[in-house]
Amino acid sequence: MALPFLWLPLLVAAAHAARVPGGPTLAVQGEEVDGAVLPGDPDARRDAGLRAALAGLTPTEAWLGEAWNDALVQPLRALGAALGEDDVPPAAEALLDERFVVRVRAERWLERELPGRLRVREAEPLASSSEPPPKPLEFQGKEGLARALADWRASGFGSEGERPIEASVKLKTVGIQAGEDFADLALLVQWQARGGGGALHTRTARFGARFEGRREAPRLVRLELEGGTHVRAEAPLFRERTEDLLAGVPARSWLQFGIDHWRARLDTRLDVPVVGHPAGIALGDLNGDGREDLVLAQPGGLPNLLLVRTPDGGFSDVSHEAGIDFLEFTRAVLVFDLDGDRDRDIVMFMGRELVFLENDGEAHFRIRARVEAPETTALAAADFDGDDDLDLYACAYVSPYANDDVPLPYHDAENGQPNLLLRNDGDFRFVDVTVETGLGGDVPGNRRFSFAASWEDYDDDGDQDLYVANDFGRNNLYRNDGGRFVDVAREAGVEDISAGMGVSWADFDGDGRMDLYVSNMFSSAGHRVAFQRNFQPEADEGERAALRRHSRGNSLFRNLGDGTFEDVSTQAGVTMGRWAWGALFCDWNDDGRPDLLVPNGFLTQTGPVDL
Amino acid sequence: MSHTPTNAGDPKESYLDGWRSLNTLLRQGQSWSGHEQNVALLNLGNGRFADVSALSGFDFADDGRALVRTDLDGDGDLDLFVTNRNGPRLRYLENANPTADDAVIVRLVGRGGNLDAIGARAVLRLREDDEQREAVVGVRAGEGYLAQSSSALHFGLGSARPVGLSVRWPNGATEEIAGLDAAGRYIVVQGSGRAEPDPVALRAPAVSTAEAEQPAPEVTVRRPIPLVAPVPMPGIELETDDGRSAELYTLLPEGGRRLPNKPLWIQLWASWCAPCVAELTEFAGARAELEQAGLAVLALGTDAEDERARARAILERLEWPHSRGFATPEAIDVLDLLQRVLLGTEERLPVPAGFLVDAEGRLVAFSRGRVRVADVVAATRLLDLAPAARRNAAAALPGRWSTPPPQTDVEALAKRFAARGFARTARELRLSTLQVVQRDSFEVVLGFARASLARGDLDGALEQFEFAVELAPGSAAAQAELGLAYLRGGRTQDAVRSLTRASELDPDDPRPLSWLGHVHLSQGELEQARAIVVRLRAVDETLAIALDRAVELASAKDSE
Repeated sequence: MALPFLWLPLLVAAAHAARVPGGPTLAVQGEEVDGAVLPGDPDARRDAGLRAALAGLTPTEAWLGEAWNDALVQPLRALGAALGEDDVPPAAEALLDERFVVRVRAERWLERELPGRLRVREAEPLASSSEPPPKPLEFQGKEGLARALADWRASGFGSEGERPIEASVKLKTVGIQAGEDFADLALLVQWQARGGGGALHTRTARFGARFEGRREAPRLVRLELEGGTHVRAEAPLFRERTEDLLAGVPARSWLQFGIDHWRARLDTRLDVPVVGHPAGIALGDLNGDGREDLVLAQPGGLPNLLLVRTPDGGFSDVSHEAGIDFLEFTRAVLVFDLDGDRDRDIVMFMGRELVFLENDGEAHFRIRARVEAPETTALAAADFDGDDDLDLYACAYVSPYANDDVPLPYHDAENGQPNLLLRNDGDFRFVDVTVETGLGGDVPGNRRFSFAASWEDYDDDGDQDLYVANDFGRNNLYRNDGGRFVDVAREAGVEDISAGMGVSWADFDGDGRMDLYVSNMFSSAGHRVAFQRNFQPEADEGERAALRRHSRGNSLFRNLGDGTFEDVSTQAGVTMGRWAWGALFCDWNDDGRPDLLVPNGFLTQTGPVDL
Repeated sequence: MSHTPTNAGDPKESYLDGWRSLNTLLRQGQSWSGHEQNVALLNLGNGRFADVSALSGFDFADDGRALVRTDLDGDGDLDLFVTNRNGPRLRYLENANPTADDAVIVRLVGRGGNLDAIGARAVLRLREDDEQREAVVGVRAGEGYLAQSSSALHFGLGSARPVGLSVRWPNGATEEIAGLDAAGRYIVVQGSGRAEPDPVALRAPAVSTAEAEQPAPEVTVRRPIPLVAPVPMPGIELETDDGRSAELYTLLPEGGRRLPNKPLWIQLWASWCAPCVAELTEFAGARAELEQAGLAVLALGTDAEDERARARAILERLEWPHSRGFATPEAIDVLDLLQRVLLGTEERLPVPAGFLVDAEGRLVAFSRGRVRVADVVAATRLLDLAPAARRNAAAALPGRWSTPPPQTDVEALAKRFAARGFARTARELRLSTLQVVQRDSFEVVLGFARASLARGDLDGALEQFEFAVELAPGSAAAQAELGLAYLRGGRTQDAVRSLTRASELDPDDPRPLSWLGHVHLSQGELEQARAIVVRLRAVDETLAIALDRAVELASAKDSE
């Protein structure tokens, strides 16, 4: 599935092949339209040049991992099928080398209940300090594989005798070491099933697999199994009730449609970008009734929404009466008291400005101030200078998906626009203090491609510090020293060089200190790694390591209490969040241990290709 | 965007090309890390997390973006809103935690300008069996991505019991809070020292029965698509029914070279395309209706030359009552690029496609796919709109604006055409700015033409001088300068015609006459040149003598 970027010509070709000239129907973003595609696409002519240019670039040794990865798509599918069934299916059997052996780690199972009626079984390796670790159990051939997999499936269920039905398995390659005639894979196994009584089961484990031979006909030589972690729940943890909640909101009908729907129907000058994130959402009581209301940012041509909570548990759309039904593209929204009059006002990034709106106390708004900030993404507010009003930090992101302003260098780009710190001087005066507070000016680090920021007093000294997640490079941790900031990300161990997209804080381990979770890209980033290699074929090993780190996924940093953090992402098992955006700590089972939720996925469209 | 292979050796260019290719593919509707399922990770309390996405009810394959948490229904556990790039763009997920009364929720009320005590830190002391521990939670405005969660504090209790709360307020003072010894929802006002039960009742939404009566979202039907500001319709090379080359508006009975002079609906069609023929059939039968709407209609065939007989036969069979013509491949590419630019897409233009052009040659709406006569007649309301009303019409839904309506940025459009190799279209678009914005300003066009000539753009200059002449047929100066430009381009016949016309228009200006004389001279037409000398004497003696001498010199040379 991970096609390297260098193979784009093939993707282009595939894309064109998939469009049959003169076909009977035409799909405009999923909707059937009465019409047909015209032949003679100029793209075909133009892309022919690109294909010719890149045709000479064939996979080399550096690409073996990717080449194997692609070659193993079907074999892994067959192997996945074997995990879900009692018999080894023929497609999997056909993969087995005559030397095939399956090794099962010697381990014991620990079982416990967690609040929310969750039962967790974890397999731990059998090991003690005095003895060498026990040897794994070994099984040979097809019969051995069948037996090992049957044991593996049964092992998660414990003593209750519950049997899985409707099982399904996903295998994801999360690591690969390859040569011309072999590939050692680290596989993430995600297995799920429904129990007989309707309970839900899921199991996550890491397997090792070794293939040998030619890529066209790979042979499975070895499989290494571990038990992993098995969780049982009586019912899904969340239940979607959007329709019920928005029953009184007419906008629910058009909120069904994604951005691509509007892109096919609106003049693009209204600002409905393919990658633009008009996704901002803010909760806060705006009409003073003690219930939180909801502000939703919308793309150009669609009105921003203010939904106020009704006593019966629903929502009512007051966007028009409230005067916030602006049609300009809007991305980020925050709700807080801007002017100290004890109601919550609104600040949003709209059009190409930060727009500050005053609340009259009854959810009627008027624009009181504007600050030009054309590339703004996320906003975060805090009282950084201790004067009892809230100041605003605005991230800037120059989108390489919109124009030719591309990050340079890819893995450490600082050619973006400056982020802003606006000091609240009262009466809707917001003063740019980025430079005088030490965040900007001659100090490096303020012109990255910033997606998100969040304030927290990580060092427990009573003032608000700031963490900024940046795409294409390292992140910032700004320590607040009496109203001036110092970027201590490197010393604190939280540079997290990767594609940062979200920030969340919580004390995940119960030691009283605020830990940090950062949204990044997972395997999809492989494309970008390849992309980078294309850009810098001479990259040294250190840089390659940095690039691999770039695609590791999300990061969890444990606050050690001495001003530094420990990167516990891998041992905590929290890296796999796919192409992650606004990941958030959220203690959903009320046990006081913050869990994590990761919304993800970059672009789902109707084309035949997924890059 | 150009994808020329010539720069493949330059790493920076190849990197840029990579981004451009990528962006083109994304605008062609391809996915990139699409259909990814959201992830839920359960904190196991031992430093590890378990992936429980499959149990979560959160694992939608949406393009998830912003996530917020709040106890929306007042049952103590955290519910979610998540926004997506694709549809649905908002989901509300109710927490289905089966255990009740196992959380403390605290709304902090700060002082001064920090109403929600953003930046406060609260410590809840808990007792479980005989052990005491503390839970620490902070208040933030802005967390995750583009998201502001509830400012209320949430403490999950598990099987523990709360025994005390302390709050460190944003200004640094720490306050012990009394009155918090059980699960529930509380309010703590800064300085009060007490937690009071939250008096505001929160309810879960009722189960909706409205599903069946969900209104059909009419806003999705947008055919044709109105433009937020009109753009000049680029000139395109067409052919008449019998294969002669033509320009767009000359195919119309009332059209001029540059202006249609009447609102126009252009229907792009192909004989092999059934929906096109269906559309044509409807438009053929609606002559009166379309005339009443004041619309001219042009059926523009896209068939290749060897297939046009079939297209003509279809028009004959329909007794096509409107104008007709055929688009050259280049014309199709121009229209294709036009709609790509206007929609921000890289998807190929379909047929049928339609373009609504006002009487002054400005595109105000266009469509992809079949439209009905009624749609097009309804769209005539877009023809005469003030900028603000036009922008409102272009928006999907009603609302207000914080900025004035945009002006047509023809330069941006022209650049896109130039970048794709449509130099002539780009030039015409730039010229048409004058037509649209200052169409009466003959001087501006003339100045434009002179500027083009000065920077060596002879083709551009010629077009602009021609346009100037069209705008002011009575201007001798424009004719004269056009004649000179023809001369520079080696188009002697045209030069003679223009200079002659110039001297007729302004017999008192000696220069066109003088230039004309020299043109004849250079062509060896001595008799015509001598005739000019005679006429010139009546206007400007000096120029007449100069020409006369040149003629005599040439004559002497001839006789040698």
